Amino acid sequence: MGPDGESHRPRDAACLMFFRRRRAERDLDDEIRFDVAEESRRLLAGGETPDAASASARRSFGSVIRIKEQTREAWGWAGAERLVQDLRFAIRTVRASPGFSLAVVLTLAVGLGLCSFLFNTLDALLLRPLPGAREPAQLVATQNPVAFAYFERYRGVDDVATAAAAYIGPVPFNVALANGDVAASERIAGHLVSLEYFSTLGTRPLLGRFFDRDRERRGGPPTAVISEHIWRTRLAADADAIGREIWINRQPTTIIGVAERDFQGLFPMTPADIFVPVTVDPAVAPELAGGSLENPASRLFRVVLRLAPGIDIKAAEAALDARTRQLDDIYGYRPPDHENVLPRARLISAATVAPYPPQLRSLVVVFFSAMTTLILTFACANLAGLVLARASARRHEVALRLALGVGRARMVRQLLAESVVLAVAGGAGGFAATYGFVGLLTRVVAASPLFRLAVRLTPDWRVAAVTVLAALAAGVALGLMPALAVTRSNLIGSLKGHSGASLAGYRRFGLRNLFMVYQLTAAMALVVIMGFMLFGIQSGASRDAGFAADGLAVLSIDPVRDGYSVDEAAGILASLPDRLVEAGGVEAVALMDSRPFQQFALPDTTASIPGSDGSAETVQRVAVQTVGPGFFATLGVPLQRGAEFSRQDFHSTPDSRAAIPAVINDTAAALFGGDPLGKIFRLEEKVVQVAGIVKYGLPPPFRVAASPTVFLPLMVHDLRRPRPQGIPVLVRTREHDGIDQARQALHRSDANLTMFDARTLHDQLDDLYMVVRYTQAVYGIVGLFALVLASIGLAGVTAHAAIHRRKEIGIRMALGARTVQVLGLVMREGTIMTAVGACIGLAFAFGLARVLMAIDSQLGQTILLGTGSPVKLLAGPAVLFAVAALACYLPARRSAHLNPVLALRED
Amino acid sequence: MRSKRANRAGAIGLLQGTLDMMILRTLERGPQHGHGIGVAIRAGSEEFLHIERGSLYPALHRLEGQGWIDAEWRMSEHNQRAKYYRLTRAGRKQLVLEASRWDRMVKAIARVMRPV
Repeated sequence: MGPDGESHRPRDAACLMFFRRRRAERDLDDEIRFDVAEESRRLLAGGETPDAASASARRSFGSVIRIKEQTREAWGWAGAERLVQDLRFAIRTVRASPGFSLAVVLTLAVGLGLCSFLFNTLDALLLRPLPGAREPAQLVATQNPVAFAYFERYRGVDDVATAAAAYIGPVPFNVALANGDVAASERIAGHLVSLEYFSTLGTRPLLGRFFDRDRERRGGPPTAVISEHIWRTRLAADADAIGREIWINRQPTTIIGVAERDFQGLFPMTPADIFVPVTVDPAVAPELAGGSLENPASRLFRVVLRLAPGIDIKAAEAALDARTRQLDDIYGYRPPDHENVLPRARLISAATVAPYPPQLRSLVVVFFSAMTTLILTFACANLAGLVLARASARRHEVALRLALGVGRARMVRQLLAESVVLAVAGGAGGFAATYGFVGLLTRVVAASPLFRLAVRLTPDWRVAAVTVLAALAAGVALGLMPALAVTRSNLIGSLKGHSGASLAGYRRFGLRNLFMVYQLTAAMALVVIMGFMLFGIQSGASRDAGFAADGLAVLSIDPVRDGYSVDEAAGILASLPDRLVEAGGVEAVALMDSRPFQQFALPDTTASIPGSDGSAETVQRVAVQTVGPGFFATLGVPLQRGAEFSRQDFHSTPDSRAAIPAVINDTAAALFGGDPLGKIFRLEEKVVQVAGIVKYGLPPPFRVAASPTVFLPLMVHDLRRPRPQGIPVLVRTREHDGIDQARQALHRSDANLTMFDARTLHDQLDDLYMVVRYTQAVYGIVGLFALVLASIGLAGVTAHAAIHRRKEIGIRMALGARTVQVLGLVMREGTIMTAVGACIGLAFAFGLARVLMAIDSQLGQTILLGTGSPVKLLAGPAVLFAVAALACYLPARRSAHLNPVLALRED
Repeated sequence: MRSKRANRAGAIGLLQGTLDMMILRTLERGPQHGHGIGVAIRAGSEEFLHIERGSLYPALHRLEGQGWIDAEWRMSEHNQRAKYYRLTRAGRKQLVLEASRWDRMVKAIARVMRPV
């Protein structure tokens, strides 16, 4: 039942409109019936016979349905109702052909999901305004760190800014809700801020107050502001939180305010949840130790300015640059030569979540629009074959309805409603996919200490709106062409069944078939390359890390945030390995400079290595790691030659020796022409001497061997400066999961020390390779979608060809062609296209692999690993062929079951 | 869309709004049903304007919606139920307005076509 009939479902009876509508319909019927009767009466009076009179009365009328249709249009409420009708009809049609609908929805879901994800990322980082700030567009921040003394002198440059504040961030704070509650203390990132911080940003307190000059004074009792997030999650939204004491870095601190909802500091890409004023004692904020507020050489602060009305970022930068040059002259500072060309104060917009230059905004918008258009065009072009095939198949139905008096506009609207329903379903699917993927990504990011970045990526209404708009555009784009074509067509011809007589868009070697071959080529190349990568990474990832991770754990401690002074902290750290072993439960302990298992060592340092026979030195890129004494022993990796660092190395100072001892790994050893042991080489400005060789290192993704790595000794001297990430400690215990043993040992040796970020080495390595698995998953998904899209396109082309050649097939069948022959006929085109596309794609993939191998030998080795066995080599192409064959077969099957009599009678 | 339909309304293309005006004028003489209005316009234009039902009925329903005419069902002279349209007070005002606009338009066009 079409939408033109007066069918009404019972559920409509619920609304008043139904009664009004039914009466109006009945009245219209009566009115027109009366008109016909009156007209025939008039003609009868004019002398015609009764039969002739009523016939010509009817004829003079034209289509009653059309008159009614046009009259209904004059009823104001018809529009909305017809939209509902059209949509309901569209949904019914969509449900009637689930295969077609699924293909369209799937393709559009992929395309729209991509657009949605793309926009979401841009939106989250670059478009959403800074949460919890007033007029964020006026906010700018210095890109380069400046000294607090400079910030105080910037205040004089009043005409460019109405307010300014300085802060250091992110800074970790050890926060405990109750005194001495070491076990429950937690490291929370925050900002160390000047008193004007909140007033400059225009943030409002949800509870309590913010800092002010009269109450926050040097040496006064420490105070802090917390974010609403922490207030809600850690203090259970306690209404009496103001005035409550918490322990920040073991110092009692009073909470004086809770910032408004969603505020997590400036640049919340790395969110800040606790705000401490710079007036506090260095015990609360170790960054302030050593007079860093007064020292003009201590460049730790970022300055945020609220620009005065009418001042743009360039003008402000020029003013600040001039002031900074003056200050540099006064304090006798000369920036390094390579920075001399840059302004001394570089400003960046602080209006958004992530810092980015303002000129990027239009670029971002253009980039997004272009990408979206490209992706959607691709998806729609891919579906064009399928949609046209379906339109051709429906020509008869459409022609019939046009002949019955459905207006063309109405018909086009109905056909459009169908594609829009499909596109919106695709958009919903795409948005849901984005939502799910982002949720997964957020969980992965939250679960892993690997990523320090925490952006609130959850799609908001803007993303939903953009997705819906894109879906509507895609729906109209997809539906308009076939809708116009099919309704424009010659009515009589279509009714009699000239399939394709006037329907444009079918050419044997037309653009669409070229597009199809291109797509199959791309799919093949992608699938093959992805296959290489997948198998290659797999082989790389399963490599032996060179040591047994069982019983090993890594944890971090940070004594300066446990209330110790910088000197005490260095002493504690120096004696920590021995004290932990004495405390029992752990077998070996080593300190490290950073967590070597948290990321793959990348060769980012220049080493100048002398040739084997004393000839000219070669320059190599190596990775550098700094480890304490006993690192390799704790790890359980024996040195191949030489010895690892001693306590003596640990207690030495960098200047006390001619050459720093270094342990190098086997990959680095291979860079030396002869025996590397005892060789002296330069590592940027340092002179080092090879003291040992070890076979150790984790091969990074796409690599078959660990990077050439030089290990330098950690020295007590290095432990004196506070670092935001604390000091990592490697611990070996007898247990499989040694974290508890480590915690107990730490507690026995010093009850005041908090350990954080404790992970077993197994977990840590899992995290490390999660990046690899994530990459693998992305490659797999991309390859899969290329395959799915290409198959849908192929199915469309085959379906289109099958419908176009109905008559030919009918004749062949009437002449005795068998099913198999008909199938062959219809599938031939798709098969040829697949074969051509696959060959070009395969050649392209191998060519690309060769090029990659030539560019980067390590990457080439990964690919070689992937091509290692014929099974792996052929898996990709085999899958492609199987899927392509299926994509051709499904639409072709229908023509094989064609009734030749019906097909021929259509003419 | 509407102008296309207006083109079908008579031997010459009717200017937009003129059909409405003629309907109002016809109803000034007293209540009439749809068929009667069509016949009256045809007769009034000396068989020149044949108003298609596809234009007439939408126009009637539109005018009714605008409140310029209203309708009641009563028996016709042949004792059949018919919908009689009648000019409302607002419709009368509208007719005056449109008629004067029409006069001005005709004079203006005449001046353009036959400048003296």
